[in-house]
This record gives sequence, C-alpha cells and structure tokens, in this order.
Amino acid sequence: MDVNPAKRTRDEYERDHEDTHTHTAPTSALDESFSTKRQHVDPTTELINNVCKDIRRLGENPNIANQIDDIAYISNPIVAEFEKIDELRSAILDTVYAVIIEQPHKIHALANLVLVCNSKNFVVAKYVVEFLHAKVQGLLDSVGQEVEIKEGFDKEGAGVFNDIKCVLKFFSSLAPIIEGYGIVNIFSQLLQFAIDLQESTPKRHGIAQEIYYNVLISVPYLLSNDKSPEILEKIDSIIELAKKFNIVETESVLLQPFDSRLGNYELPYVPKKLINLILPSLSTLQESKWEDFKLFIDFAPFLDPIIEEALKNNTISNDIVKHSLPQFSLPSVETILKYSPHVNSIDRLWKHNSRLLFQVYNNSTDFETVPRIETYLGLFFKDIAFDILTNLSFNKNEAAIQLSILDLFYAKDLFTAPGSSIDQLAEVNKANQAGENTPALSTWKIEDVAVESILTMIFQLPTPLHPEIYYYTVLIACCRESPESIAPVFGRAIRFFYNHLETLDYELKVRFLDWMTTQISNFEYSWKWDEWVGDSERLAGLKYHPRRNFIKNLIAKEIRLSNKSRIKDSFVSMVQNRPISTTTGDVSDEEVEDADSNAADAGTTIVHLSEFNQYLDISMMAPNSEQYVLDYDVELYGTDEVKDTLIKLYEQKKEQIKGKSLVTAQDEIIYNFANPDLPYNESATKVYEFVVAHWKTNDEFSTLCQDILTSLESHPNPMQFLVNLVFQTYAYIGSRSIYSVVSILSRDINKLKHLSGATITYANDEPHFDTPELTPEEVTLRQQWIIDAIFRVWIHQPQVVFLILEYLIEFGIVDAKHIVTKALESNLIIDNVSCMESVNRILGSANKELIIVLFNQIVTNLNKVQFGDKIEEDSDDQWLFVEYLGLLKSYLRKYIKNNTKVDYIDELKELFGAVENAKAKEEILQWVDECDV
Amino acid sequence: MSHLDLLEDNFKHSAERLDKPSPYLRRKARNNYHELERAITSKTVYVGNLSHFTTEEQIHELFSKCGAIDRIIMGLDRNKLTPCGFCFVIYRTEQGSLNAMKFLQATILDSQSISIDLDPGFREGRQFGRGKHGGQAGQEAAAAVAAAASGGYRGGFRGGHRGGFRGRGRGGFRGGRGGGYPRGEGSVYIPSQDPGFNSQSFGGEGDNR
Repeated sequence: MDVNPAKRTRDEYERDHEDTHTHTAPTSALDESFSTKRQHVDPTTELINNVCKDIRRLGENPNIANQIDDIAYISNPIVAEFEKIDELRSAILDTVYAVIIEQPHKIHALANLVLVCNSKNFVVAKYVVEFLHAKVQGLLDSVGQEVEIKEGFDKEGAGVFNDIKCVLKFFSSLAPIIEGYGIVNIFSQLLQFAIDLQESTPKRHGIAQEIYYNVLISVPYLLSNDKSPEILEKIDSIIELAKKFNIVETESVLLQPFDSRLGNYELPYVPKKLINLILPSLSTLQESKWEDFKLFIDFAPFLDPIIEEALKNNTISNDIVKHSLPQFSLPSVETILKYSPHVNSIDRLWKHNSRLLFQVYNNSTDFETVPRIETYLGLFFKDIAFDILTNLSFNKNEAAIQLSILDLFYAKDLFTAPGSSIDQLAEVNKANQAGENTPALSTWKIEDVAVESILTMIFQLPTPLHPEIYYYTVLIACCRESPESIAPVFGRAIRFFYNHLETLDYELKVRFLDWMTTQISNFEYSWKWDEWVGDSERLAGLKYHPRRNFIKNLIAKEIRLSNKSRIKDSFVSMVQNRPISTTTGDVSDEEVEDADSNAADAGTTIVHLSEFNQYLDISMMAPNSEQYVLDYDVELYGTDEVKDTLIKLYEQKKEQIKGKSLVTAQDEIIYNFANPDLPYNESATKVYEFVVAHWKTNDEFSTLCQDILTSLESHPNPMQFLVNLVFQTYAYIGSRSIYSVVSILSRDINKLKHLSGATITYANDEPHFDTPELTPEEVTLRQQWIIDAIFRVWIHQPQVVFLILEYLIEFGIVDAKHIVTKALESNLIIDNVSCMESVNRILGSANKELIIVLFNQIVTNLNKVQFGDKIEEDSDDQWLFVEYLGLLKSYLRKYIKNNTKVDYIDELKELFGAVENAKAKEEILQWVDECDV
Repeated sequence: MSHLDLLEDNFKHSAERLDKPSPYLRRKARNNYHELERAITSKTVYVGNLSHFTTEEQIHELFSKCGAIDRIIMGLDRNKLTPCGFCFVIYRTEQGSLNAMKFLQATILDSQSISIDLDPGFREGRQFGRGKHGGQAGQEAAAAVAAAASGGYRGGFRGGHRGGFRGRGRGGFRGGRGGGYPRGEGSVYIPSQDPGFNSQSFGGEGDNR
C-alpha cells in the first residue's frame, strides 16, 4: 500500500544492472566461493550468517508494511537464540555496530528491529544498549592514547567523535525504550562538555565544535520514533543549552575552493561554515513546532500493532521494558588536547580547520535539486553521505549503491523519482509555482545529493580523506548503476566547474582534471566536446588561460590513459541532419566537411570536431617541439654544419611513423647520436655499448668519459655534449619500458653521480672516482644539462620525462631543486599537467630548502609580469600572473598551514615582501598570516 | 585492518571488504597457506583482462593513483614476447596494493574491465603466459573461477558500455515493483532446537515463509 513507485529496492537495482559491472553484493560473511562445494554447513553458522545478512540489509525495501513484516520475521530467531548461542549474540552485536557506523542511514530501520525484539524479549535490547554504551565509553577512553599503526597502512574510520555521533543517533531512535530520557541527558552532558572545552581557550577549539555539531545534528533523531510533547520539550532544552556554545571562528581564505583573483571575478558562491548553520537550522524547525519536519518514515502504523501484539504474548512483562542509559565518563580538557585523530578521519577535518561546505548544484537551476545547505535537511544528508563514504571505503560498490538508494530510507515524498531529468523537474516546478500541486512536489534529486557529497569529498581542502581515486570509482560505480540518470548529473557538475575555472583553486583544478579524465575513460571518452569549441577558438593564442589550459591538459591526460587515435575519435558531435532550408546552429561549414559519413542513425550525423586535433600534440614544447629539437641538437653539436643532416633524419623519422596505425612512445623517440652521418658517432657507439653491456667498473666508465672528452676536443662544450650523450643513451636504451630505464639507471648510480657532480656514497670495496671537486655552479650547470637531456630525448612523452627525473632525484643523481626551478622557469608547471603532477609529487617530501627555492622562484615569476590589477582577458601574461598567485596560495596551504614543523614564517614574509605588485603582495602576506596561528 | 581479519570471516563490517584475497587465492590456500599469507602482505597485485595493446605507461597512469609504484612487469606471451593481457604492479607499500584492490577492481582501461588480485609476489619467469599457446592462462583461470563463484572475477567481460554524457536519456521509471522482501536462501531461518523453547509469538509466522 505505501509503496512509492519511484523508489527501487536494492534488489531491483542489482537486477537492472547485473550485467554491467562486477560488483559483489554484501554477501554473507560466509565465503560464497565455497558454496558450490559446500556439503554441510553447521546450522548455527548458517543461522548466524543469515540473520546478520538480513540485519545488514534492513530498510532496503520501499514497501513499509513489508519492511516491518520483515523486521518482525528477523526478530524471531534473534529473540529465540540470543541468550543461548554466544556466537550469534556477538555476531549480531558486531553487525549492529558495523551498520550504525558504516551505513548510518539504516539506523532507523535497525532501531525498529531492536524495538520489536524488546517487546518480545527485553534482554536483546538490554544487551544492545549496554554493548553500544560500552563501545562509546571505550572510544572516549581511547582518546589521547596513542594507538600504534602498522607502518605502510592507512588507518580506517572516521574518528572517535564521529563514530560516537552515529551511536547517539541510534540511541535517539531507541528513545521509547530508554529509561527517563537518558539519551537527552547524554546530549546535554556532551553539549556542556563542548561548551567547557571551547571556554578553555580563546582560540577555535576544533573538537569542541565537532562535539557541538554532532550533538545537534543527531538530536532530531529523537523524533524518529517518539513524537510526544515531552520529547519536544526536551529538544527545546537542548537547543537552549546549545545557544551557550561560543562559536570562535577566524576568517579563512586559504581553504576556499574559489578565489576572486584579486577582485577580478565574482565567486560562484561564498562557502558557508557547517558550524554556523546547524543551530539556526534547528531553531527554524523549532519555531514551526517541528511540524514541517518530515524526514523520517512514519513506521508507527505498522510497527505499533506488532509491538502491542508481542507485548500481549510476552510472558515476562506486558509493558515495554525500558533500559537505563547512564551518562559517560568524559575525558579531561587536557586529554582532549592530546587527541590526535588519524589523517583520514572526519575528526581530523574538524580539529584542524573550519569546515566549509562545497556546493555544486542549486547554482544553475532556478529551483532546488538538493535541499538548501542552510537547512537541517541539507546538513543532514551531507552528514550521512560523508559518513557512508568515509566508513565504507573498503567497498566502493556498496558505497555507491547505498548512496544511490539513500532516498529509500527517508520519508517517501522527500525526493523526486530517481532519474527525473532537469526538464521534467522544471515542469514540476512550474506546476508548483502555479499552485497545481498541493502540497508542492519535491524537485530534490537523490542523485544530486549523492554526487554533490562525493564531489565535496574529492574537493576537500587541504586534502581529501581518502585517495581521490576512491571517490572517482564510487562515482563511476554510481554511473554504472544508472547511466541514463547519473550522466546528466555529472554533466551539470562538469559544466559548473568548467564555467568557474577562472576562479577555481589551482589544486582543485588538478583534481578536476584527474576526476574528469578517470570518469570519461570509463565511459568511452564520450563528452559533449561541441560545447567547448567556441572557447577553444576564442582563446587560441592564450596558453595560460584556465579554460584553454584545461581543455589541453584534459586531452593530454586522456591520451596518457589511452592513445591518440582513440582520443581523436572521441572529438565528435552528434548533429541533427539539416532540414532543407535551415542550418544547424553552431556547427560551422568547415566542420561539417569533416563529417563522418556513417550516420549513427536516421536524422543525425557524427561530426568530427577538428578544433581539438591541435591538442593531440602533447609534447613538452607543443606546438613547437620540432623546431625545439632541431635548435637543441644544432646547439648541442655546436655547429650549423649538422643542420641539414639532422633535418634529413627527422624527415625520415616522420615518414616511418606516418605508415603506422598505432604510434608507440618508442617510435617517436628521436635519437641520432650513433648515426654515421653525424660527428662523434663513434663515441656514441661506445656509450651505447657500455650501457647495454653487463655491469662495468667505475674505472672503465672514467676511461670511457676521458676518451670521449678527448675526441670532443674541437667541440665548444665537450662536457655538455658528454652529459647529453650519456643520459640520452640511458633513456633511449630503456625506452621499451620505463622500468628498464630505471633498472639500468639504478645499476649505474655512482657513475651517473660522477657526471652530475652529486655526492657519491661508495660501497666498501668500490674503487673511487679520481676527480677534482666541482664548484656549486658547475654542479648546477651539469644537473641542468641532465634535465635538459631527458626533456629532449622524451620530448613527446612528458609524463615519462618527469618519471625519469623523479627517479634521478630518488637515486640522488639530480637535486630536486633543479627540477622545481626548471618547472617554474619554463612555466611548464602552469602549462603542462604532467609537470604539475610531478612537482606535486616531488614536493611531497619537501624540506625547508626546497620550499624556499619554490617560493623564491614563484616571486621571481610574478615579478616578471607587469600586472595592472585588472585582468585583461586577452593577455596571456596576466593569466600567467594570476595562475602563479593561485599556485602560491595552494602551496602555502599545503606545506605551511597546519604544519607545526615550519619555523620560518618570518623568512617567508621577508621573501614575499619582494613581490612588486602591491595588491598581490598584500594578499600573499594575508595568506601567510593565516598560516601563522 | 590486520591481516588476520582479512582471512577470517567476521562481522566487523556491514559489507564485504574488496581488499581480501579472491576466492581463487583462498581456494589455493587450502593447499598452500603460506602462499596466501604472502599474498595478503604483498606489495604486488596481479592485473588481468588487459587488452593486448595496453602499455606499461597506461597501466602506470591508472595504478599510480593508488600509491607510488615500484615496478610494473608486463605479462608476455612466452613465444612471441608480446603483451598478453596481464601484468604485475609492484607498489612501494602494502597500502598501495590494498588500495588497488579496493578502488580499481573492474575499472575500465582501454575498454577492458580489468580484474585485480593480491599476488604472493613476482618471481622471474612468471611474466610469461602459461596458457597452451603461450598466452595467458590466468585469464582463463579467472574466468573459470568467476563461473564457480559469485563475487570473484567476472573474466572476459568486455565493455558493454552505457551512458557517457552525450544525449540525455530519460531515466524512465522502473516498473514492476515487487511486493515483499525477496527472500532468498539467506532468509531461511532454522528454528530453535531447544525443546524448552516455547514462544507463541512467532510460531505461526515462521511457517508461512
């Protein structure tokens, strides 16, 4: 009867999409791999597995009557065996706790089960309440105690206080069977604790804020199974107490996802802080006496008769047995200060920074597709989604399913039917406005809530809780569940970010690139490229414009995951065939000429968008790489005489490649040292033979170098040539595979250090090189040559260039600072995504020296540009300036803010004092101040 | 997550962990427990169902999102020495291989839905296919396992892509809502065998199901 036809069960979900992905359902812990051979399973084990499986899936049924029937059914074996089978009891208690923490949206359904069990046998509920109470006390006791984690492993879990929050929600749902409003006392106790903690310091107390927030977000759960006037009074008293909490906040711009670029752009929105929203959102509900509060499913009509019936048949008590829930023993203020939540916990987010809310939707439609963020429901669904995402990270498929069916667990009219399109919702909205729907129908989409929550986690600053790839693959899993309904949701998100690239934070741009590449690589690389043709044409000359930069680097990243011809084939648009008299909107004639003649289906033609072909050249110096290689090589040989030979060789190479359908990285390499038409080819042959041979001694290497230098007598810069010859040859020989390069480099570390001037650590019996010390300037020069040599030989594959360079850093052959300097001097850090990503990896283990080099170089680059405070859209330099400013901001946030090891803030201030543009300087110094708290 | 937890059935989670060894490995473990123990403490993952044209660079691009990679070893056809659809990815830390298990299972790379399993560790010689014709036997094995076990690999799955962003399909409501809780095998409860147990409240109900 109460079935919302729009809601689908978990099973329908899986049935619909079974063939599209390989996810595994949350099978019983019993290993199903043995099921085919399972001869006889112990009936107790089977019972335990079945009961626990059913508990895990509570609430995944849109039919409320059936859901309650199921609960009554599941309660039978629990009630019967709970006291008798220890394994069953402990399995159930563990499962209950796991569901509360990992799938908190099921709390209400789970509480219903406990209410039913309680009416049949109160011992079950007593055990559950006591078990969970002990769990919470255990969590509180663990605060301040260092738990050792095995090295190399990330810790899981959202943190002590976040976990406690979930249990509090559950206790609230159990309100009808808790003695004397014990849960309300606990809320008051915790709230008072938060107030005291905050009062102990004039600064923002992150954990105090978290406790305050967690209590308030959980309080409305009191109404899930109890709507008495008494409970409303209790809630009033909690809200009254909450008003005493002193919210201490500092202004923070470093954590904001958008930046106005020195006031040149309007922000898409000013991010709101969680902490400021929660109390007003509850007060609003309170003002209306909670009459508008329609979050929870009203189970009472189905649940109450079952409970009454059970009580009637209960031989021990015909009244509801209530359980006591004593207050907790709380840690001291000092202990809380010692609490150090692990890096991937929600507690950590609270402790260190104000929590800002990221918004994607409700920005481009004139009606709401997600609950407004200022409202309790807006906060509530975010809270639930974050918990699921954080705690179910060990099963991305389950996380995706649960987020996609979240609407199932709450009041049925809260969300519109899954899969509703924006067009359909616009119609609904119109009808609502016209008063045709009473009450007005919801335009909220559960897909939007889920996707926005996941994106919030991806775009979390300063760092996401889990590796970004986890969130990407949850999104991919959501999309595989229902591509037709999710793809447009992603489309709107992508457009929102793209349209605000001018203001989007530097680091978030890198994440956006990464997400979008991963996303579309899983869906045939299909994207509506036609939307971006205009921007690409308009911004043709602007290398550093955020939009053009984005398009270029997106394509580069796609190629890295695939290949050029595949990506080229994805630059298509479906065009309606032209009716006889009119033309099709924005597709120009020139593009139609390129049109693929294979019509996809009647009425549409696939048109190739040749505008994007230019981005297929992903080489380091695109589009001038050819010229770069020629100039580089001519300079390296030190004579113009080689020019014609070189040009001839390049032409030959081009011819070779032309005939190939799939050009590999090896095919593209231009390595000519050993060509008999070029000078010094005999030296090149010697180096080649040296490298391909098995390991040789240091003496042999010295002799080789000496011989070559002698043969280079007439060369203007023999050492530069030698360095290039050696390093390019190593890279060339290993070109079959990056790891071949790495293995031969690692074989000859000391020999290469000898050339690079790095300090050599000799093995015991290793003969030493007999060489004079190089001056620091000489070392710098040598290392710059090495970097240039790798750039040159792998010019067509930027990601390989940087991978090899990172290995050279790791082996100690090249100092990281030279690569960072090169990345900034060449502006590749802004221009080329491989370079951005590499520098971010290199900086991952940065020390003070490297950070200072980095900031110094950024200041130099800023001062190179005359910036007049107003961005002129068509000036590439202006964009370079603001991009560097953004880069600086993101690195301050990443390496300086919240970093207790940084004791050189004053040094930084002095350094930034050298920025010439007054407005930029002022802003930078404000950022530094924000780090300095 | 301790290693023991990965092996033992327990009720500490509300869903299956994707980073536990595959049924294939667990079955093998009945003969060789140490192999399994090595697998779950391994920094290496086995990657199957790759396209024969997928390059090391592409694999690096995807798998480095789970952690820093030490090495990638391409599986080669032992006769032709060309890639034959599998590889080993060796991470710098164990967390890298666990992350790959959790996050990359069934991701699409080069139009192929890749399969991933923890690996006891690479040894020289294993990069060659063990199939009859020099190609990959593992892929076939994975497919066989998939047939035997739900929850393992679904080898041989190719594309079947849907969606993407072009063209906004109308969601369409799914019809045919079933009424009750679909009770599979998982819901058949075994009644109490305690003769002293005698409660009225759920006798009749249980029989109906």
